[in-house]
Amino acid sequence: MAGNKNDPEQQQVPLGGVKTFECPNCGGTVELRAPGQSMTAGCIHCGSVIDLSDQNFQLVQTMEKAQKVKPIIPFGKRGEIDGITWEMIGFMVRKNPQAGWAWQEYLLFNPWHGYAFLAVSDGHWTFIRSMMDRPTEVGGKVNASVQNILSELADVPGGLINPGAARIVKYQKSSYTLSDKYPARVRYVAGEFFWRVKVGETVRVFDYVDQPNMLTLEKDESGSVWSKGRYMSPKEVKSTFDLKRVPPVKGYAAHQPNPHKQKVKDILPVWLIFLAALIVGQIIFAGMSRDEVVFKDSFVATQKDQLMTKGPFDIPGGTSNVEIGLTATVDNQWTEIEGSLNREGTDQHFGFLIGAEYYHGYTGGENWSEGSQHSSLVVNGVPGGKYFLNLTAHSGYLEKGESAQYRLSIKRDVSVSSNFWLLFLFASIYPIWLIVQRIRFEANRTSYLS
Amino acid sequence: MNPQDQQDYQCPSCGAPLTFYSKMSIYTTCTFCKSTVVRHDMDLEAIGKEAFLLEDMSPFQIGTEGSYKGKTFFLAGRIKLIWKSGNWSEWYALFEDGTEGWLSEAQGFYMMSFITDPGREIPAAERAKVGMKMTHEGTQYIIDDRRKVTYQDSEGELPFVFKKGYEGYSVDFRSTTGKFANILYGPDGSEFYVGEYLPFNKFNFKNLKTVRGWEQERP
Repeated sequence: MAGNKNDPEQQQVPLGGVKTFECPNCGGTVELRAPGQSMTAGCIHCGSVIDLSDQNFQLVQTMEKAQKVKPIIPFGKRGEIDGITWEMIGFMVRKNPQAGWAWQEYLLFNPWHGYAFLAVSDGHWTFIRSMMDRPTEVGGKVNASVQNILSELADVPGGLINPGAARIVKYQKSSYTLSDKYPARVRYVAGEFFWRVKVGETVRVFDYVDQPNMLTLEKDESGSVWSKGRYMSPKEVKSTFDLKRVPPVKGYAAHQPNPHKQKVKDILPVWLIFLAALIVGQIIFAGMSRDEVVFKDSFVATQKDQLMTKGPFDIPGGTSNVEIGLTATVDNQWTEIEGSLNREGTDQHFGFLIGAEYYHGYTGGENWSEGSQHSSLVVNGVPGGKYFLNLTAHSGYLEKGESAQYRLSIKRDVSVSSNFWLLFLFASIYPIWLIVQRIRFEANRTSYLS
Repeated sequence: MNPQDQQDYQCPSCGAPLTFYSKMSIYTTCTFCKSTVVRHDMDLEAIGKEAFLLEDMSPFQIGTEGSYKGKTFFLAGRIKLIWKSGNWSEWYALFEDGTEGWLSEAQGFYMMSFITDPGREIPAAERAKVGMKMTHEGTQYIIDDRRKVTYQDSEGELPFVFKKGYEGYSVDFRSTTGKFANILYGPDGSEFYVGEYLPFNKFNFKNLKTVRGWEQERP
């Protein structure tokens, strides 16, 4: 039996798992990695589409100019995704003819698990498996049985009713929202496919998103097919197939997970626990503070820069903080007391300046007020002992020759919240920054996709 | 498969040993001379010759074993069906208790189904339209696919006489309960099947075919 070029068995030279034949258009070698299962081949040399169904390798389409598009994942390359090894056997370029943007799809094969797709659009990858079951459409207040009929008929090829796409679909306890619908036209095929495909074929695509997953419905006159995809990071694709480069990421994909979402999720419990501990700590410390009044006096100053001495009085206990509180009957006036807390028998003294001002009036039909008749300040690290006060009073009243009235009190071991607020703020900077990042990502994505 | 059902013969064409494993099988292909053989009661008749089924990437072979719902089965025969947009195989599965099922193998989807009495007359192929509903044993089914199919190839033994090139129809039903149904309009009439899809690993297959190029990989 001399070699007969037209005998299919003679043409096929098994190469490991690969069978080959000559392209009926250009004579180039076409490799088949899933012989017996593939229905269509696209010649990688000239772009012609070849029918594989009857071993005669009939030419279905020839391209006017030999077309060659180089796939990012090489033919025959294998990689493991979710525990299954996949081999790249088919490559297709599809385009939205209305909007002009194109994307690539890679057909992956595994003899035991069938087929999967990897689609890449503007650098965003989706790993897709088709589904045998389908999602249910979530309607409004439509009666359930009517809704069932509508949803069944919505998928009737040719469309008895064409109510438009459902906005939300439910599948396996998750809800997916319609994010895009567009026509998809095949522009280029290379490698092999398990269905009959032609350049120019168009289907209507509906994408439903529940990050990072996407359900896609593809509809044409002969029927509809649902598939489920998940967003795959360029990094994951690169390492799966050991690629030198992947296309750069442009803009945002609807199902792309927010990269800050997980970071926020991770830090939220830590942050909230820290804040809770801070609050509990502050409550305990505040509870532990004695708030002991060690000095209280009311007095009147009559002269400008009047110098007064008060005390001696005891500040019991060990070293603690001390709060000096001033109440002055200022009415549209200011006052200030410059003073020092002096420890008897030592050089130790704590200087302070405490003031109060209060103004009020009725202007333009409105009551207004500013300031307060009370103020306080805290002095830290005051040891126990006998103390006296040196006070100098200043006030607008004294300048005018009037008298100024004061009430001064001193408390030891008071609770202070400034530390608490400082820590609160400090601990919140990073989490709030992450939250801002997360919000900005979503805002950018929303404006990009609209 | 009940071992008592097994019958050994000699090929009426070339004399080589030829076995029928199931009482129900009436057709097979002699693995030696490729003659197609029909069994009439106890007599065998050679009716033609089958071209060698081209090797493909199916992980199954005649003799592959598996289990479904606790019962073991082995694959005794196969038909390959082709339609406008692809092809798939139906494997004739003989169970240890003598029952028979069909294992559908299509693009990595595996469904075990059984011939079932639909409880009503099976409509003619032209009348079975997408969208039609029927209820069977409490489950509501709706036709969601109807396609013309060609009987392309066969292997092993079958419970009907295979006609290469026969053009029939396959009508698929889906339900809301995970069950699927099918009407296959074939050379010997139409049958109604009910089945379910399971992932490959759930069948615990043994004696799988070694797939060329994938010898180092596991399912």
